[in-house]
Amino acid sequence: MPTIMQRITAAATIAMVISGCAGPSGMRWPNTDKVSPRSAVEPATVIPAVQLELSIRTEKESYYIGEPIYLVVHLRNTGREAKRVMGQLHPDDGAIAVYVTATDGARGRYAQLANVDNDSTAYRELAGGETIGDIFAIFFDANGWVFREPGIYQLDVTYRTIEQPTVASEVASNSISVTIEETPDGSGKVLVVAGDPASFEAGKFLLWQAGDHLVQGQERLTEIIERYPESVLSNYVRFALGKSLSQPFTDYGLGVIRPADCRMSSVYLRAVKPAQISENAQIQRLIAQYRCNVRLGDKDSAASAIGEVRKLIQNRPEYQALGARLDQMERRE
Amino acid sequence: MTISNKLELLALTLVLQAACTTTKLEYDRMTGTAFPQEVMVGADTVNLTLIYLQGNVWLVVDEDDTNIAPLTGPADPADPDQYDYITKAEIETLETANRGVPVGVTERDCGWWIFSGTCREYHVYGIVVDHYRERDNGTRVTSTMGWMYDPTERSAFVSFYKHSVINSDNGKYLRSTAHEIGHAFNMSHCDGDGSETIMNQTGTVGDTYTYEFSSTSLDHLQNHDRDAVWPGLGSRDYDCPHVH
Repeated sequence: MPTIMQRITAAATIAMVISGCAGPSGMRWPNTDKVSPRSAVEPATVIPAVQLELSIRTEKESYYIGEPIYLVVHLRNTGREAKRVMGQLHPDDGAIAVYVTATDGARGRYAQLANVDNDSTAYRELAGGETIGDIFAIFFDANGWVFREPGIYQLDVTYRTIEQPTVASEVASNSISVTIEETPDGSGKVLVVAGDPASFEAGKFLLWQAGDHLVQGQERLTEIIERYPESVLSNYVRFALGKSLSQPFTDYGLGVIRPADCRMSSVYLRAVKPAQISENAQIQRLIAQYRCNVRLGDKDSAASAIGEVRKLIQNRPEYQALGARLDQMERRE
Repeated sequence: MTISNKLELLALTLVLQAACTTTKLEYDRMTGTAFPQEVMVGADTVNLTLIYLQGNVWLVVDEDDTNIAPLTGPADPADPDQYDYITKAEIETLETANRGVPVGVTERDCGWWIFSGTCREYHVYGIVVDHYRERDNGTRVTSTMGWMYDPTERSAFVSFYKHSVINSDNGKYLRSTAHEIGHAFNMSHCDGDGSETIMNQTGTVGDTYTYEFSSTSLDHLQNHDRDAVWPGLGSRDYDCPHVH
């Protein structure tokens, strides 16, 4: 049985609600009838997009377990008239959905680590014949490592955006396959471990090439370098650690900003074998070296690094945003 | 408020109290920022709690820490505005340092008059940062108003206060915040009607937005499996119709 106090509290609550003085809502809102699924407005109708072509590719067809995989996405206006499109083609930004179909036929959506709310400036006019693009990692998502087992995986992508009120248009890409293999030296099995927090953190660190707070993950990555120094994965680990150290990290957990450590960064980045990492990682590695060279006042080395990057990204739509960022960095040099 | 409205509210209140299920938003902000304020729509006040009441969700907003100082370091001549931007990794550390509520659900016995049972409180963490968004590849974005950055457990979101709309248009700021909380409740952009409703991105709705959910969103909030709805319980669904 309730106590006297509980009865008084309950009675007071009801009385206050009836009198309109309290409760979760001071007044009922909205005053329309749009509070039930039956009477609310329907979601946007989806129709096939016209004069848009979506294509995807990876840098190569075969990867080891744990090896970072980057997907290039191009969106082309095949018509003559300009079209309004979402200008940012990273899955975070909401227009791009990446689907991965495993060898056993299980199809899942790549679960990016953020869901963004963009304003209207994220949209742009895509002129007739023009192509925009992006490149992003797909080896790790909110559910962990995406390619956990050897096999052949199919990848395809859809692009969907609102072109006019209440109507969304969608276009699907070509489908490509990637083969995932065990690492010959067993390093992949040490790095990719289902349900292991250290493995999860290591994946996140490789994805972001940042995250001082991911201590367990960095320990696992360091273990990879120490036990398998010649592994392909070790090259990516050195790249990630080196890039991380090339810039400051604001760590609210510790309440400090860890400054860039260009000496240690250089040790890691110089040990990377460029032929064993993806071109995208190579570009990021060169930018990290550029940053440190600028900080150290080594203008010749900085110019050399940025020159190499410029050559690699020239006329490639997936690096358009990066090119703009480099312009900004060089102006401030 | 009419008698009919009061009776509806009373009924809803009794249902919610009987169900005894709430979602608590622990809401923090950095110094120099502000939380979204209530707005008036006609004669009605609209706030986050009322928006979610449409979906029979009782969202309790706890404005907690309002004085988190943004950390800044020595100016880098090569990158003078680097501290205007924040990465996902850095946001994770902010949550670690400031989040008080647990991820997931807490339960307690709730003896209440003739009702006796277990009350459940789910948790969302939100923080307003005085920054813009920096992408993983180092490019910087000024078009992003907010994001839910923890889809693993659907438990946390951030608003970027340096964004010119967030810091100047409270109505859209409130809408954007409700949108990000919507992701924590496992709703998707494709829930939106492509015109006005909350789960459209702000760039889609322009100036003609409402604080209403589409039928898909309401159906999800009101009728879908609880584990697929309440924040902190599981990973994101991204597709429409919802597949859970």
